Amino acid sequence: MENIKQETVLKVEDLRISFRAYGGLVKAVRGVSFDVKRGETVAIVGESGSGKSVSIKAIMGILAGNAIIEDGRIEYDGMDLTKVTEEDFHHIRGNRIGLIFQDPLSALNPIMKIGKQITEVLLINDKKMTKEAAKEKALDLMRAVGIPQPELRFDQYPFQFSGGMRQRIVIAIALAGDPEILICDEPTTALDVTVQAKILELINKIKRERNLSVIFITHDLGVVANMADRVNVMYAGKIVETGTSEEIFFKPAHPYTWALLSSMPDLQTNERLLAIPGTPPNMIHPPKGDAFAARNRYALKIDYEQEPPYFKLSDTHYAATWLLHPKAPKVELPAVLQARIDRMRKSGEIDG
Amino acid sequence: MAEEKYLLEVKNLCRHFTSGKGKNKLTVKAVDDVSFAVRPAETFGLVGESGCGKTTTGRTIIRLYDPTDGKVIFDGREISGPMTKELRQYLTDNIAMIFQDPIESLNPRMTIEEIVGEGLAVRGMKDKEEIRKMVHEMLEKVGLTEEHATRYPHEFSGGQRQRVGIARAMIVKPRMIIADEPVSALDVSIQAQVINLLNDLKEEMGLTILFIAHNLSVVKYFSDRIGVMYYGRLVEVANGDDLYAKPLHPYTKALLSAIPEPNPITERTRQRVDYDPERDHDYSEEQPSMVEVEPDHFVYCSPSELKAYRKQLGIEE
Repeated sequence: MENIKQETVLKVEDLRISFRAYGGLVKAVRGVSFDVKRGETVAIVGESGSGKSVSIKAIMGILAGNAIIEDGRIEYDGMDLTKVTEEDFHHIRGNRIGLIFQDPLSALNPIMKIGKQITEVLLINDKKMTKEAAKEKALDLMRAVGIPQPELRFDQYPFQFSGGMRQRIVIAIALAGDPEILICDEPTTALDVTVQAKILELINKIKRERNLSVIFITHDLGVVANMADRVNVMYAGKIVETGTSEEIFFKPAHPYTWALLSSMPDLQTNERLLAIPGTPPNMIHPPKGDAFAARNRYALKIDYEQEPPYFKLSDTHYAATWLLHPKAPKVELPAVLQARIDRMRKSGEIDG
Repeated sequence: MAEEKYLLEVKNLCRHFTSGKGKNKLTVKAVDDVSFAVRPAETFGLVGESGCGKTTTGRTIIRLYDPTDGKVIFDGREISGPMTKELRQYLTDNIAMIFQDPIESLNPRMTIEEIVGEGLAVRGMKDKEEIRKMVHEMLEKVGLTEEHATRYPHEFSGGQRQRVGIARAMIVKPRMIIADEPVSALDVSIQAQVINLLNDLKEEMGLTILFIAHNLSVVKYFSDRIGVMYYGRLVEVANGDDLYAKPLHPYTKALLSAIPEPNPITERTRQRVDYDPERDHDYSEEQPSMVEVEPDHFVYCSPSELKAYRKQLGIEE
């Protein structure tokens, strides 16, 4: 990835977010740090409840009312986004950082014409813009995201669009503010595979054309492999492993990453799946030590007592597991996963 | 071929939905002329995108919908005819269903014991103690415990709820299960648990399964044979390996080429194929039909396409 300059556009440091809930404080994000460089795609992978969506909602300043940012900074353009007032956030949200939601139908206003939903963004952001100029720009955006017959579609309502077309509209709206960071929160989960492939291609194309930084939230590892330059794996409110795509897929170091990679069948899988036993922990009372320990077949005694720090594997690859401690017993990758990695490398050599 | 024993045979099944009256009348052919057969103890996967009619096919077989046309034969008996009390009983005795959404498909006001045991009670079992014993055994089998029996659905996680749904389907000891997207609402780490559970039960009880899903990797892993649906029609049927190694129908190719694989090397170079029925087929002169191109590999195609497919596979006429 030679086109990635080392300029960091967004930096999240030790973010901690809790929610006031009936049973106590739910510790949804417990010390998350990552950064995003210009022109790169950073993926955040995790199951529901791992805190990935909460983290990006904090970046967008759209956390629910019962959320408390307990600690941490989100550095962006010399500001700390955790301390920016709502008034100032209006100039960042949409304009500087755009967001694409999972469900394009609920993200659009059902009783407002598509064209108006796009021009609305343009007119609010640029008070001097005329309606005619806004319409021209909106049509350009619709063309850019691949909507056929934009003039006709401009005056239609969301229900007249298919799921894939709706997601294109949402992307057009996100691009209307001309942001430099685009956050995609499971943008293709609600779509069919063939439509998903087209939307992913579109996001990649826009990213290249506009030199955007993309934060991509998903639980689908196939999509991650397609999109990401770097990957952060989240579990129970923490990033347990971070690295480049190649490092995460070919040299995974955290048992949770192993489990994620080997728990889903790919098209060549015939052997029994390595399911992760149990369910994610209750985040009102997060377990002492490593949150994954109870489900981890490689858990050590210390995992139940002390949280593992990040161990460095390379300049870009870190993992929080005691298995990497010099004194830890040597653990081999699960055979099923090793076989799959070998197979992937081989197929890569043939195809590539 | 004709003598082969099938447990379930679906012949030219159609299910059309109509809306409006007079000149506004609109017919949606959700399932149109679909034929396939499932062997005993086999898992038959149905894949396709949303709206392709895979769920409607499943629901029409178990008679949640009445077929518009065509026949469904289960173990030599036609089950698509007029609904009688006796036929309903026959269906509930033999075919059970697992639904996609484990929250919506469980009655929130019933305990797990009532939900799982209901099937037995409906089938005339009166001894409460006996039912309780069977429920406990079944819960054990799907990885839950006795203590769960007295709880309500909301107290369970998604994966556990799906286990309850599976227990409910299995307790009547059906010969066939229709599993409609049983794992797609679950988290990745839980999906594997449920897939493994279904696999174990399948082997233990010699079940025949109609597995409906949109995730081709999961279907491939789970099924012996796979049928690909597109807009209400079955376009290709083959065993999993053949379908993946040598897809013939252009839609199957498009579908396979769109699946993202967890492999950064191949993902970056992946070539996606588009499917456009207008462009890919010329049916102006020849009518397409379902043809067996090679043993156990069926494709919906016209005679000239068939020739091309056979050539592609290296089969001489």
